[in-house]
Amino acid sequence: MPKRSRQRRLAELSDRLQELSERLEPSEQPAVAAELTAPSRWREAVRILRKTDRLLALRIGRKVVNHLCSLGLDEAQRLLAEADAVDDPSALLGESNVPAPKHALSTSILLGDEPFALAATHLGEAELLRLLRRWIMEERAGAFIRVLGNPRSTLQEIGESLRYHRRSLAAEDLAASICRTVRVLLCQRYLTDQLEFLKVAKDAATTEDFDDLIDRLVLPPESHGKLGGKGAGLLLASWTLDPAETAAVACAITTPSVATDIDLAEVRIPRTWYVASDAVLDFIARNDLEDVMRQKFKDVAEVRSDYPNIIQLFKHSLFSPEIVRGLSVALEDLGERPLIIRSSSLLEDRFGTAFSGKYKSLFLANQGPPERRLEAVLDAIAEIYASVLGPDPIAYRRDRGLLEFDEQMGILIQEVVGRRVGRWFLPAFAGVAFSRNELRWSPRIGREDGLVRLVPGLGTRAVDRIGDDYPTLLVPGQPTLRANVQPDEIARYSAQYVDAIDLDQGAFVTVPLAEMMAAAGADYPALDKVFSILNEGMLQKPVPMFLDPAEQDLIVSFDGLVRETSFLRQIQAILVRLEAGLGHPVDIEFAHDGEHLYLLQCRPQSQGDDAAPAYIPRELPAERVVFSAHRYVTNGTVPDITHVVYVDPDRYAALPDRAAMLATARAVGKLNSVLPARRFILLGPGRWGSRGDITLGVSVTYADISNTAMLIEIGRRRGGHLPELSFGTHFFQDLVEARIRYLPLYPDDTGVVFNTEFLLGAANELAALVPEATALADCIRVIDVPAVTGGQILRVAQNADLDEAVAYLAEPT
Amino acid sequence: MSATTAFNPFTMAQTQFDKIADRIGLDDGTRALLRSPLREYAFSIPVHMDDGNVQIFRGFRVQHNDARGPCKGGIRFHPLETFDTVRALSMWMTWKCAVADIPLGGGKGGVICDPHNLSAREQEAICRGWVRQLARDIGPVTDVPAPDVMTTPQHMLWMLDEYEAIHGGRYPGLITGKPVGLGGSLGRTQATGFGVVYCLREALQELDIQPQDTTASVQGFGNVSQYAIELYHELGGRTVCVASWNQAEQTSYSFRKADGIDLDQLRGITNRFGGIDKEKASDLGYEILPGEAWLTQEVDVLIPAALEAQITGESVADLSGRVRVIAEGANGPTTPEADAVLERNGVFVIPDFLANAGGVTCSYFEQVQSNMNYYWTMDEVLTKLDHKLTDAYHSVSELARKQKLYLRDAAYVLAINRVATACRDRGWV
Repeated sequence: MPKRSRQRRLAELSDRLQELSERLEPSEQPAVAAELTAPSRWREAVRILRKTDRLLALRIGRKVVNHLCSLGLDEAQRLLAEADAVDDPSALLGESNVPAPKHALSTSILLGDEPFALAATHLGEAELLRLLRRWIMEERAGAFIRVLGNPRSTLQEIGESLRYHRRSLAAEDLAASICRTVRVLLCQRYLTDQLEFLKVAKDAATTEDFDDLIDRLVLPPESHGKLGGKGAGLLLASWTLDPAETAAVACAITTPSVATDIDLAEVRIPRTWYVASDAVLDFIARNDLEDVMRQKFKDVAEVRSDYPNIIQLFKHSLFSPEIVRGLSVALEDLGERPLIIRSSSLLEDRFGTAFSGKYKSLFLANQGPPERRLEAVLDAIAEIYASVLGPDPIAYRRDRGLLEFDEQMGILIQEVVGRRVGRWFLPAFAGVAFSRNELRWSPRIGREDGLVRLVPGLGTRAVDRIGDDYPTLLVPGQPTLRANVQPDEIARYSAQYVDAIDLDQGAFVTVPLAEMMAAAGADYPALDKVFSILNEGMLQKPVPMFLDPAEQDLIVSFDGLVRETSFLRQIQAILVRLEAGLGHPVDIEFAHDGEHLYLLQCRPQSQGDDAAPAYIPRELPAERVVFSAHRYVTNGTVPDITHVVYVDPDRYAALPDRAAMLATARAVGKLNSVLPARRFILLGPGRWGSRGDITLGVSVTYADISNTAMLIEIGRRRGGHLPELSFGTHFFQDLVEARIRYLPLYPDDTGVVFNTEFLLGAANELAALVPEATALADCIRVIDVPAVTGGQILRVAQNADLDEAVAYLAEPT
Repeated sequence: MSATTAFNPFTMAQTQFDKIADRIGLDDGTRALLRSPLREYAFSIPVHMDDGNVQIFRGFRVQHNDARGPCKGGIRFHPLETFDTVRALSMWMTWKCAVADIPLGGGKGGVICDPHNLSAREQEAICRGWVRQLARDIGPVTDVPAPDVMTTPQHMLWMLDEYEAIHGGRYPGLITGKPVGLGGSLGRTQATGFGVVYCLREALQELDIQPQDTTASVQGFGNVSQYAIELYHELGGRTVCVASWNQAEQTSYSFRKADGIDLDQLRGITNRFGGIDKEKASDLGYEILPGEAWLTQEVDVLIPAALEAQITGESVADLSGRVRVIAEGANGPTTPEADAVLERNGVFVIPDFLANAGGVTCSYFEQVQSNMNYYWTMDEVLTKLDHKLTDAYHSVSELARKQKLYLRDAAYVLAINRVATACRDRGWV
């Protein structure tokens, strides 16, 4: 029997069975209930089964008997023995070391009515019909699994097979083990081979999810590719947020304060198309670019100088007709909306490798006739393919031994979330969020409270760190605690520019905020959620009718968003759900068009090499420890510190006058400019950056400390009172953007080390480095660590999980 | 660490006072009275925090002296606030009001807290709690608070609202720093910068220098500087150099134009924090020089209006010999060592607490307008400000001339003598 027609008949049979069993379901309609008593609906079913597919009927007959045996029915045992012509079934279970005889099988018993009649008697007709249907479904699924499990099957074949079997796979009563096998295989073929990922994905995914996916997947001929990290991560996140998953994940959520009334079904995923990762291989082969790919083994300088040519070479290469056709369909579906073309490499965003931002993402205005839009998309994809050979990714891969790994690159074609505002297209706001907060400006903020970096417009500015332009920092678990509280602080540490797509120019642009607001005015989406008006030192809510951007000072404060919407609770619910579901801290990218929140990306929370929990050495000899801490510790290692600048709290407090204290700040500023950048740390009393009463801390500005690797505040008890430290609040956000670490020390706590012998005893370089500050040499100690330790350096290991930090002398790395 | 060995701000303020008292020959009784505040309040403010806990915050108010009128002074929110800091600052407010000759005394208050650790609701609870503890001891005709370190107009309005709820009426004169429309005064933005130039104008006149023959170099391009330059240009002066902070580069630059800066043009390329766009300035023909260059320009007038301790024992040597007047728009831009050199060289320094008294004078105007519930136009405010500061300047300079005092010393002497006289006239001492 031809395979296809058999399948079709199976489908019909299954439908017929469905119909029969529906009529047998207990119903409120008396007429149907009466039919229950009508004899032998099952006979009709079995008749059809035998007629349709004799082999199948035989297998099903055996399943019936096996099932009845498992229920302990003696008659069934007898039937089975007859069917297999076994005299003594128990003999097979013994310890006999002689091969069992091969018997002739008697199929007639299994093809007859007897097993079914027995089942109808013992199970009831309805149950029998249900079982028949389920077994037929399993037979069909089996066919699909054979395609799916065959490594030679192409994604085209799998897709076709999935489309064909979609209905039987959706059957509710399909055996759990089969469903699971199908899900695992689907995840493996489309998403990743990584075990950690599969473990999570197989439970979050449903076959319907893949059913949706294959319709939006562009494949090269004979594809064996995958979606790549970004694509897989986004899909996994969206499945995890699916309300159907809620119950399972909710059990795993332990954070007590998380809102339970947030409807995560409200969270959307932008319409996305995917290009399989092996399309790049097809592209390379088609255009004879294999030689170029060996570029990665050259030295970085050469890679850098060749890179511009490679981009052009790629841009002038051709895609296979299949890809071009697929992308045309995608563009038809996506319409004339701005797009972002994102890389989704197999190396990127994997569990354990932080490979974020190394490959390109390109924005396209996507306006105009279809041919032109298609050309732009092809051009962008070629450029992203070329970025595999960019100097940064290559250097990064070389450092991590990933160079040999064959770099396949999936592509995401995603509609940009947003609205048209004047000539621009942009979301109301966008940003990134982390489920673990590693930047606490208040002791009231815990790690599990999370962190959001929020900007108006496209989220590119929340990811990057840019001079005098700041994202707004919010803590989902502590929405009322803001990093900046005074109106002038809020204004200073806020967005001054907006990234958007200029629809007229067809380009990605950065627009000064004032210019955009002058043009957009009250048309800006969610205006009163994003902006406040700074008026006479008060932050006021903008009233669209009275908005006058020329006269009013519009500040990005997100006050309205925090006060009047459930946005932060929504973000927190997402983060907590994803962290619980994925079993790993996560970071996400999102955008909001003023009405809906869209999830753009999800991946394990990136812990740059310097931000992972550090190993805390335990057996250090006392003389090698310079200080230790066990409060408000964040994660990370500050390696290879060559200089320690220590402002002694007692001696600073004992300075004769204000002028001496101001001179101390100036000397620190000088040291900041002469010491090697990021190779020294600053330790000082109380609050760095104090104003007014500068006995409380050295009155530096951010410019005076901008090159330090670490800012440390020492809180010593004074007459039973422990001073509150600043947590860097005077320039907290500057520290964040420059990745300067902050640590408070409490030397009077029991169990901590504060090695004054080293800090006060080691030779002081101050006079040599800043001669004009020689008079302050008592108060300011500058220690050249290698010089006084015979070549050692200072390393600060911080571990937030243990809430412990230790600074110790070690051999340089 | 023993706090006593550290310089204590209150001890420092007392030492400064003692020097002047010696100079005036103040009697022991008056001296003892003025060395310490008249009244001090310290109290607890219980606040129900957002997480359900109760936290107790420590609040203060110090009324140093009200012989010349109701106490006036800010409320500070600071995590390391001390009673002695508040005492010192309240004393300083007494002298500051007296030198400007406004009928107000000196006060200061605060709460030990860090707003960065507090939600807006918790801050509101602290503000209302502070007023509940003091509602009988402050008032529009007894003690008038204002915003200060880490307190804002919003805090003032919460406090005013609580006070009015307790006293059952509308008393906008309780507090200053309110927005216009809720009892605030016009002219607050301009007051300090204009005040600097009112004093400068009078000083030039005394020195017999025509403003239109002068050039100036200014440090800072915030509110104070911009309005100072605006008025100075109206008088005919020419600003040839302005220093401004560059946030992105974390450094400052001086912007020089020999034939004089165009204020409106420069304002057009300046952000709200007074940061001038370097590239655009360069395109407009400004020379971009290092941040310190403003100090060494060949000008007649220097207006330091940004940071403390800019003219120091070292940097004073770099000043051009042409500089005749320094008008201190910032607080404490000149160190005592530099003062000594400037006095010797005959450079005329208009001290900070006279030159930047425009701010406190405008606060006084706000209290006056609030108490009569009738508000002046901008012109009225600025005209009155001009009169007040012109008079204040002349009183100080006359004393300096007669007694051959450095202007800074004369200002202190005058202020302390005014307060001492009021105490004696009232029969307190």
